[in-house]
Amino acid sequence: MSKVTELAGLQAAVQGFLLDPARSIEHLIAANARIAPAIQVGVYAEAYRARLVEALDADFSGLHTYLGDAEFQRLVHAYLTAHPSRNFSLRWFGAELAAFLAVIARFEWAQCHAFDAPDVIAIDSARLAAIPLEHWLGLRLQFHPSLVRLDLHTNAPALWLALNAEQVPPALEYADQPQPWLVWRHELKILFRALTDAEAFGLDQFRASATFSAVCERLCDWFTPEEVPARAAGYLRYWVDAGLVIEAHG
Amino acid sequence: MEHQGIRSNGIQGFGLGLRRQHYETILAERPAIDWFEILTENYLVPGGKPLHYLDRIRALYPMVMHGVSLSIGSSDPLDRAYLAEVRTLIERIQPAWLSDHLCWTGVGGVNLHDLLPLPYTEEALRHVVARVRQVQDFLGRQILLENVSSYLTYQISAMSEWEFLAAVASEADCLILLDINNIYVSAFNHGFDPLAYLEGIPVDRVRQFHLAGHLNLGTHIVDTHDHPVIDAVWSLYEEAVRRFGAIPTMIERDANIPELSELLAELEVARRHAAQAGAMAKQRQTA
Repeated sequence: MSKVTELAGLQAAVQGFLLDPARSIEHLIAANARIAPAIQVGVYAEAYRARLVEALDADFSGLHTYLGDAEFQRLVHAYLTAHPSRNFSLRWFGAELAAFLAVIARFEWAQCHAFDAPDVIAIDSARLAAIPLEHWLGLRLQFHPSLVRLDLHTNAPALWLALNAEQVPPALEYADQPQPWLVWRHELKILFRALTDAEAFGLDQFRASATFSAVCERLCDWFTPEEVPARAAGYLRYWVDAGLVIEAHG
Repeated sequence: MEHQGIRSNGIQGFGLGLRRQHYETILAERPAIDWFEILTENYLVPGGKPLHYLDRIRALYPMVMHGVSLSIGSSDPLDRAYLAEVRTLIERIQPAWLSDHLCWTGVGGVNLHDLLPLPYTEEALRHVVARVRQVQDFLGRQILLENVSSYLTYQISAMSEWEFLAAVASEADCLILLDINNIYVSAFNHGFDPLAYLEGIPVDRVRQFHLAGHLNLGTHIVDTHDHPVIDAVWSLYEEAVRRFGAIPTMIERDANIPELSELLAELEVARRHAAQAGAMAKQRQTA
């Protein structure tokens, strides 16, 4: 290994530690006259966070006052972990804070809705199997009131999962095409799941009172006409098993 | 490449770091400060108050530029976009010189906004020397590199910080901004002799001194730049003046920024210490 690679490796390790102090780099550090390795690196870890928090505090003093000290600290720690600075000036560090707040807020709000939406008993697979074949073409569905459909341009669910588990969240990512998500409550648990575009389209169609035959027709944009009925029936079975469907009538 | 040589470029005596808290007072009172040092990144903005005041104060005082984002020791490629902005600011205010730090500030495109020490190895030295040359070629001038205060010692370091800094300066043909407080802080934390540091730095490379205060936690010192200069740092400053001569000196306060009058008073103390050291140096020569 060349020494420049050694330099790069050392710098990557030190930076990894500063971004996530749960990592250990003490093996890279020599004890010096006064300070043990853990204290030496701890000084930098503390200074790093303090400096970036101070920068956001200066730029968002109104938000700080509004949220209060504790909540503001929580917010900026989550933000700086998800969003390390990539600019030569701290002046631009807060550029994504509003978007960060918005994506997390939107996803959490969907969960709030799912948490205490009205209780309605979902149908089970036996109810679905009992629907006579001749009623399927005109079949319409009603969904559980806890269901929220989100189209997210960001990786908010992954961010939220990590933050909730007090782990290092991934960097905030933006995609030009939104990813469809489903948030709902099932047996008192809040669940969320990414959907394919086709499943999201089918779900949205059913929620807009389209019939099974109409949805199948439109799903021909994704699948061959031979594939479509089995796909659509597959979605339906999954939704029923997930407790999402409260009524199915032809 | 030959670079525009720097001796004093009109900078002499005692300066202060320009801070926004003092903009109005400086314009209204035009205090007797020999020059100002600006924090480069604060003025790499499209417009508004920073540039408004910068131009007005520049019309009254000589200036030098001091950056924190060059990341000369990073294993990332040099940030050409940053350097281009620095060059534009150089053209705008025509500083006597510009400085940054002997450190790295991040890798993989991340900026940690901290001045992290380098491992003092042969290969890190080659890396830094090559990059200083690139920067000097790009800017068409010599730069000054400043010693940072540090708290950590890498296992792989094979030479002292002053040996490393002296080698960078001589091999890359760059100049040195010696921060007297940082030497004191690092000497305390690492347990080396601050005078050995001064003696290890080549006299003809030093163009500027920084003075600042710090926070002593007992076990170690944190370089906060938010307190007045302490007596031990004044003593070390006198030693530096004896060795390097009447080098342009400034007080750098980055946080807990007091009224300008308080910093002017501290600058007077610096003048007295420099004069005393100068007088002692003369006495020594006579003897």
